[in-house]
Amino acid sequence: MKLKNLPILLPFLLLLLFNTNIKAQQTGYLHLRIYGSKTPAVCMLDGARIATNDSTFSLASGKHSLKIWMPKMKLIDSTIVIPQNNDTAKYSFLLRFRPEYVAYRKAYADYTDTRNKRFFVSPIFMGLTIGTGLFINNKYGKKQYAKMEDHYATYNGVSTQAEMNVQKDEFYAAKKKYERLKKVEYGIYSVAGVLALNYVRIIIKQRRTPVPHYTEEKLFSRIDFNLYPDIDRKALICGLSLKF
Amino acid sequence: MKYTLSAFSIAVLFLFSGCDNRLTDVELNSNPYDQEYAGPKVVMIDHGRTIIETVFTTAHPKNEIYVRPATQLYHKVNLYRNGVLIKTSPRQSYGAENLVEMIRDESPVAGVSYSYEAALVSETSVTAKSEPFSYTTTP
Repeated sequence: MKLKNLPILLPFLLLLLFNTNIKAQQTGYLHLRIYGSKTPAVCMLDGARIATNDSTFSLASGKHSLKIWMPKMKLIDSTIVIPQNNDTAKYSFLLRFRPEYVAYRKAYADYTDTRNKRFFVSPIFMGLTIGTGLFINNKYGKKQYAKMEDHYATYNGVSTQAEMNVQKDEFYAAKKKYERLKKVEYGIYSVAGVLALNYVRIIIKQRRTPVPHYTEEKLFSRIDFNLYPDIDRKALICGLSLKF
Repeated sequence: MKYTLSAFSIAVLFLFSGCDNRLTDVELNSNPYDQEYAGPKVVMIDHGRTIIETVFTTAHPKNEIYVRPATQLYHKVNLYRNGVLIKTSPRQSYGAENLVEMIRDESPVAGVSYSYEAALVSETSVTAKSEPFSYTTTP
């Protein structure tokens, strides 16, 4: 090519160069929406943090790496494609809780339920048993005891053997009934005691309910320690593995 | 927790105070007229008051025996001399406590020692005799 032709070719060369620059600066827009989080999520586009929440960005056309993360949320690691000619690519992502966090929330809800639970069965039965014991004592036990007192007093006020024998028989009959009722009453109070002890046990158990804990995922939490025997080589193998 | 302890305390309280035990161990053998009577002697010659020897103008001595009943349940008192009933005296003492009956042996022989016993008498029965008490009538 001769230099004298340069003026003629220069516009074409410039046009070619210009065209090349246009191709290199092709841009598009990204309209990004993130659901599932009230607070702004941590959003990394090609390794740099960007603002989020219904934002529109001007980006170079092509593929981009996008990572979205929030505490307690599952990491979104995605690739987005930005169109050419200033077109807009709309991307929406939904942040979801980590399964571990969901399990933790459930465990914590169960824990709260357990701690706040009120036990009424044992106290009600304790009251019923004590009430039954008192009823037996007042309604029947005292009656028999009054009979015993009457016969005892009458026995000491008579002097014929026949009268004394009658009073003795009546006294011992009432005494037998009274002692039987007393045993029943003691049995009922024992049941009340067992119920009370059981209630104390339930309360102590409730107070000792372990509190569930949630730990955020970290690199080290992904590492497992493995220890197993290799029988062929007669060796104990120790290794580390990383979950993906 | 405090309600639980309160309920448990009440249960224990009822357990120990629910039943009356005053008569549960009692055996009916406290009547002194009963054949199965097992209590202490209900009649005794009063050792505190010495038996008084009285000499009357007729020169016949008389021994006064003081008997202390431990029960109100009697109408008469029997006096035994050497195991033989010699006199039955009607009840004279009606106090609520410290009952004392005096019975007089009208015909003791001076210088002779006697063994006296007493027993209480109701309308139908007689108690066991007291412990014997020996006394020698003063000449």
